[in-house]
Amino acid sequence: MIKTNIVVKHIPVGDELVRILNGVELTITDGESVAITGASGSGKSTLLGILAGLDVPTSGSVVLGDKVITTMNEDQRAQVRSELVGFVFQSFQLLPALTALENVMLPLELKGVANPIDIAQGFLDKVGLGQRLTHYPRQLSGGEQQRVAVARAFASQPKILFADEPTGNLDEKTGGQIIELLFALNKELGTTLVLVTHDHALAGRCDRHLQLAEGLLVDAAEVA
Amino acid sequence: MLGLRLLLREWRGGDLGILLAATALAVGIVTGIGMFAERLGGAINAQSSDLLGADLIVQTPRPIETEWFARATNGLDVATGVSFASMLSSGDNFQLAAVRAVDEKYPLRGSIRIANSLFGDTSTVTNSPQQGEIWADARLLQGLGLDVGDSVELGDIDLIIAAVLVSEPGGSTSSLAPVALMSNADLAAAAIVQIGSRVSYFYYLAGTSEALAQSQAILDENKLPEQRVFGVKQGRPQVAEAMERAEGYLLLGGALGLVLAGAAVAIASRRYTLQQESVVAVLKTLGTKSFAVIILYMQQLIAIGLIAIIIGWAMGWGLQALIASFVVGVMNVALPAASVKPLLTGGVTGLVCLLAFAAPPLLTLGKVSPVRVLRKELSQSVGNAATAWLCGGVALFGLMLWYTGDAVITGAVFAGLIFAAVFVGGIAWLMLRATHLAGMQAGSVWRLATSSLRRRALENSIQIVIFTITLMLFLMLLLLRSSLLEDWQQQLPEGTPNHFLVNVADEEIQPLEQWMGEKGLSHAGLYPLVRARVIQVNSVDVNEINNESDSNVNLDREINLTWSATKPEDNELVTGQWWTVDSQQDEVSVEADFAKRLDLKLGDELLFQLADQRFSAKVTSIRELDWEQMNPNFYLMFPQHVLADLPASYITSFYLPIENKRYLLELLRQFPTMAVFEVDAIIKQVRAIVGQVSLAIEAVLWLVICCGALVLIATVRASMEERLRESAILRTLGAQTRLISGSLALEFGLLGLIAGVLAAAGAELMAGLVLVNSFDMEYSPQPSIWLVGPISGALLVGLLGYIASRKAVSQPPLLVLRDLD
Repeated sequence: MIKTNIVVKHIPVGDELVRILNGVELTITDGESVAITGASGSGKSTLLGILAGLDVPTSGSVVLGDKVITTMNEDQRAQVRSELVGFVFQSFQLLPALTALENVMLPLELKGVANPIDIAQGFLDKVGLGQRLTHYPRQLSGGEQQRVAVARAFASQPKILFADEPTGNLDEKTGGQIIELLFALNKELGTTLVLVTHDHALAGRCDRHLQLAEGLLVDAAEVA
Repeated sequence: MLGLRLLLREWRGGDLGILLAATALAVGIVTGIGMFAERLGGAINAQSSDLLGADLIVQTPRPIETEWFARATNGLDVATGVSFASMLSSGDNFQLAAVRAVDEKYPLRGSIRIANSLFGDTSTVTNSPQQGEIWADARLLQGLGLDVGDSVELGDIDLIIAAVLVSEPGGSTSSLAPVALMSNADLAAAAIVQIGSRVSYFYYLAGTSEALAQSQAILDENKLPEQRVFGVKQGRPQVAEAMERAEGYLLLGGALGLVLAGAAVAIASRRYTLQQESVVAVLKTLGTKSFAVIILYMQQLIAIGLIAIIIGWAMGWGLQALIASFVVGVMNVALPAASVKPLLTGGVTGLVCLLAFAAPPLLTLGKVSPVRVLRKELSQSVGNAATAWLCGGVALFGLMLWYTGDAVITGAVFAGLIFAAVFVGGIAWLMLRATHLAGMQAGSVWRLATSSLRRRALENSIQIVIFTITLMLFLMLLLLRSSLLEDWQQQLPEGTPNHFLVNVADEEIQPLEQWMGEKGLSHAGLYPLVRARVIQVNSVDVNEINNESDSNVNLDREINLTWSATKPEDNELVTGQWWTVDSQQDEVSVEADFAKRLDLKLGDELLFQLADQRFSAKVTSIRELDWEQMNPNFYLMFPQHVLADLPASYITSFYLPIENKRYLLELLRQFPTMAVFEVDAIIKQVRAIVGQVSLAIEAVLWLVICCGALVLIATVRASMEERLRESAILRTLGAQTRLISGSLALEFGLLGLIAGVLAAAGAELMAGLVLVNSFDMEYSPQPSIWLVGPISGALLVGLLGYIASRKAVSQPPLLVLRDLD
């Protein structure tokens, strides 16, 4: 479960404080898939960062699972992330020095899982990259890199998966394949899915579609 | 360990290469220079020991038979000798000589040069005279009218003259008596050394440097005031000074290498840290805690350190082996093996460099925020470069001090560095703004280059500081090198007097000068010589003044006195005043070492004795002598009237080319009472040592230049990314490759030019400080440096910039942009 209470975020820009989030209230239940859309600069990624415990709000609270992460320090939040959370980013965020297999193994190794190679290999098979294990990110296409990122996100079997514009850097066809992959794994593993996107087709496939406007979150259906 | 696995994977990715290379370089340079300096020092020491006949000599009025002396000589080779003054005779001819009786082991180092007849062909031997034989120098043979093969009477026995003694290692050039060398097996039979005889016992010691150091320590601790211990430094001041300066130079070279390598480590690690920020953000996103991040990178650092140390050791060893083989080839000397100490120094240096320069930025990685994965512009956690540089600076200062053991050198280098950092940064910034104004008026290549310079004025200022420091260190070493070499060349130039002529009587001066004129020779000035003993200081017997001092002053024998109206040019007054021409006071000017031996101050009264005559004089000045010059030097100088009534002869020195040696026989035939000292062998040996040292200095200069070039490359590379990104964008907008290459080369060339100007100023400052304070030399500014600095800076840095940009400029711009992302 994810629950927020009047989340406010100010960001200093030059001498001014810009209010990005203006009291966001949100509850997401386990296994639910939620899309957050909004104009460029509306604060979608900021909200995602706060929900995932990557960043802290100026005020308000966030509960992830059964833990209030807004009162935690960075290390405690890191602990929560390693237990609960997986990520897929627009710019993939693979480590360039690691092979596809090593990138997927990384969260497993950090968690101290016993047989990281087998698990990682299994997930790379699932995303169709079983033959590209020893390739480095720069030797892979954008779609392939994002598939490695998806494999990495699911490999540690997180309760909640956050995706920040997962198809933003990909062409329509490749983006479509990634979306299929995300939902297939979401279903198979019962993961809660929170994604930020510009893509209304993608948003439409989620259980719920929320829109961020003027620092507040509203149901997209209501706006429409 | 995850850190090590990540390290291996990162290594495959290639980003760690620079950091590793820079650290290995630091270890390599320190190890290489350390080893080479140690080996060369060993070779020079060995050569200098050849001049002494031993590594260490103990001189004592009585044999030493104590437990501590046994300890001091434990593990060393020991030869013994007894020296005394004795009358030798042949028929009606008598001659007083300084005789030395040595055992069969003498000399332990070097060789003795002998001739088969008076001024005949010479050869070197490494043994001493056999029992029943004596080797006498030319003066003694001249005095007795004998030659090789004749017999001479000494005490109760007759000895066969087996060879002419030309030069021997332990020989002293300051003794004016003729010299002879015999076996100490004949000493008892000769019955010449009796109880109460005025003799000196010598213990010649030789061994490994560790054993010698240990021995020296025991000797220093236990020796009695009348016992003297001297090594190369006390025994041969000319060589010692050349060696000390060379040692200083080598250490300085090593220290500068250290500074440069430290800078390379700092630049590389900062770059590595910046590259790692996104990695850390991802790791944190995946749940890694700050402390775990720090542990991870420290593990990496230690692993890099260990690998770098091993590579650096290999590099250093290879480097010194290469130079050593070169030196051996040119100089034809054997270099002793190096100890493990340079390896240790190199290893510690590598670790300290890494921890001081690389750890601070890497430690900030713990603070990288995971939100950076969403918004890249949120980096800047590595901001505090000042702390890193401060930390590195302190460590470097400590390392340098440890490495050189010389606060003056370390201080001078740091003064230069701080000058560079503080002033150069500011001046560079102003100059960069000026180039932009100039560039606005110029063509597009210029405009592009100068606007790019101005836009990154701060980064470029920092870069100029690094370029400046690197160039400054080159130039400084260059300046020191020419000053040292010039100084050495001046000391013993071609035509340095290589023979001393003594016992020249007043009435012989004119015919002597005439004879010399006929032979095309000229002398270096005639000095009157009166020999007397000092017996009292302020009415206290000199025997009761046992001031502990390692000086060469021997009060047991007569001292050479001279008079002069003017102070010799190469003498320097330490205190007091030189007398005026019309001075009627009984005064004396004393050499500083001599003054120290007797604890003399201005106004002290010295009493002298010559046969049954006594006279006294008051100390009115203290002088320092230049022992490096082959000119007659005097401990005690007087106004003429003090010595006017005493029997005097004259001494002079002159240069005689080796091919004209036969003139000596002619000279002595014409002036039978004069005596000749040959010092050409010593001069030749000193020249060989100086030649070796000069070569070492060249080698170290080149090593440091290589090292600095690597820093320049690292700096240029570090700044290349942004420049390339801009270039790629410009090229997509249609800019020609030539415009881009040209502007990059020009941009770096300008940076190099500015750095060169500033470096010339810094180098003058530092070289002046080191020369005056540490090498005890004078410094005169060298205008050429103001030309060499800027030109070499512009060419070097411009070329490096051009090379670094070439590949990227030739690739399609899209590929460049993709590679950089």
